[in-house]
This record gives sequence, C-alpha cells and structure tokens, in this order.
Amino acid sequence: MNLQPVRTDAYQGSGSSSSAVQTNRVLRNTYWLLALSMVPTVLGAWLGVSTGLARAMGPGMSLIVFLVGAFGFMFAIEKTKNSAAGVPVLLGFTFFMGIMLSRLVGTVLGLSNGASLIMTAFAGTGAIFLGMATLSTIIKRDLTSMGKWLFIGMIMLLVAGIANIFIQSSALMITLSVIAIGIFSAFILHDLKRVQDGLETNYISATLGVYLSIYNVFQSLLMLLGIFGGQDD
Amino acid sequence: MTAMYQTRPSLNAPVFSAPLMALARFGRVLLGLALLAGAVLLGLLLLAALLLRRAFRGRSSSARASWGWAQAAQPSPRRTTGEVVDVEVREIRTTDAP
Repeated sequence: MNLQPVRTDAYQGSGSSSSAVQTNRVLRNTYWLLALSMVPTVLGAWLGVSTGLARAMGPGMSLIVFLVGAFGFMFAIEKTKNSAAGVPVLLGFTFFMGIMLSRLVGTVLGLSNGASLIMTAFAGTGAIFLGMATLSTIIKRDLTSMGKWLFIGMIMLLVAGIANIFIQSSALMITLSVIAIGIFSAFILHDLKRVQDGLETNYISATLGVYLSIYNVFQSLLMLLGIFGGQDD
Repeated sequence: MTAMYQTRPSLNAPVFSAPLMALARFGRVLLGLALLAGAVLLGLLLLAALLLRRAFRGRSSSARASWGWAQAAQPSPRRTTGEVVDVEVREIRTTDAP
C-alpha cells in the first residue's frame, strides 16, 4: 500500500496520461484508506459497546461530545490533508465515529438476532458501495450538478431528523432512513465520480466524504433492519 | 323550472340545531388554527434549512457527519418493535370458600 500524501498545489501534470496516472493513484489510495478506516471504526464501536460509553451519554451530552469531537477532527483533517499527518488524523476521526455508532450497535446487539442483523447491514452497505463504485466507472455524464441537489436533500433530511429528536416519531424515522440510504448512496457515486473525473485530487478529502456516506448508509440500514427484522426474545 | 324552486327547501329554514352550528363554527376555527400552525411550522423548517445550508456551505462532510449524529439520536429500533416493559407479576392465590 502506497499512501503518499497528494499535494493538489504541487502537482505538475504533463498531459492526459500523467493526469490519468494521478487520478488512478488518488482512486487507489482512496480505496485503501477507506478499507483501513473500517478497522478504527470497528474498534471504536467495540470499545463503546463494551464500556457503555455512548449509552451513558444523554442526547444533550452526546451533542456536545459530537460537536467538539467530530468538528474538531474535521477541522484537523482539513488542516493536515496535504501532509502525512492527515492519515492518522482521519483514522482518529473514524475511531471517534465508531464510538458514536456504538449506541445503535449496542441496541441492535441486545436483540436475539442482533449479530446477524449487523452482518446483514454490513453486507448491504458493501453491496451498495460496490454497485456505486461500478456505476461510477460506467457513467460518462458529468455528475457535478447532482451534488448541489444532493446537498439540498441532505439539509432537508437533517432538519427533519433534528425535528424528529423532539417528535420521536418512528414512522418519520423509517421514512428518513429510507431517504437517507438513497441520498448517501448517490453521494458515494458522486464522490467517486469526482475522483475519476480528476475533480478531487486529495485522497484524504475523498476518503472522508465516501467514508461518511458509507457510515450513514450502514447506520440507516441497521436501523431499518432493527425495526423490521429485530427479535426481542 | 318553477317546480324545482317549489320543491327546494327555503334557505332560511333551520336545518341544524344551534349547538350543532356552534360546533361547526368551533371546528372551522380549529381547522384554521391547525392550518396556521402548519404554515408556521413549515416556515420555521424552511428557515432552519436555509440557515443550515448557509452554515454548511462548502462543508458537505460536516453536514454528513451531523446527519450521522441526528440519526443516532432518534428513537431506538427496539422501541418500535415493542419496548420491553418491566411487568410486576403477582401471584393470585385463590382461597377455598369457607
């Protein structure tokens, strides 16, 4: 694995062939780093479940921890993405997101078929990722404009999601989870296409975007599987 | 035509009783208030969406991570499948009739 930091400003392309090599390198590094980022996520989720860290926090406390942790890490990633320090910072962020996921994972593991639901959600997320990655190589159209619509959809989703924290409607939660799977699957396609088109030349930024989309798809799938396939006894 | 006018009941005829009319008026007021509340809520949601869009402009990752948190804070899956409730089971003893 060759995870060399890619400097967007220092890159000197000398034609279409070197540009293609550069694009392939960014794509390969993105896939490698994405695979690597799953390890800290699983570790974080395991730590969170075994210590009950996330469960112990109330909604207010989890918001504060999230705001400080996630936004702090994302700020650090933005600052270090052009240096070798970007990779460990990104892996630290994925560990933190694993801890944040542990509340849901712990709840699902409390079901009698919890482990199988988690494996199903993982397989489903993998299948979606594989499908989107394949689609991104097939589609020749420019998907840049799709990003704007996806962003608006995501903001609407976020508003409805925040409203549902107070409303606590299960029907709305199911609807939002289904929409989220659609939006974030499209985001995976959009982000991978951006890398392939040479519009994203930093693999750390690319990995961060795809990782968060995969994380959200997995979470939504797990939530839906927990609702429809969960067995209490 | 004339026959139709003749068979039609007078508009001034008391069709509904007074309490029923009051109830209908009350229902209309309630419906109006509900519509107003819905419009205000929709406006607030749109305002929140606009503010969030401005806050996250160019920071798609931050918005994505925020959704991750917002979804995790939703009601847990177990709640919808039937929450486990502690039920105190008391033994009912039946005594023989004296």
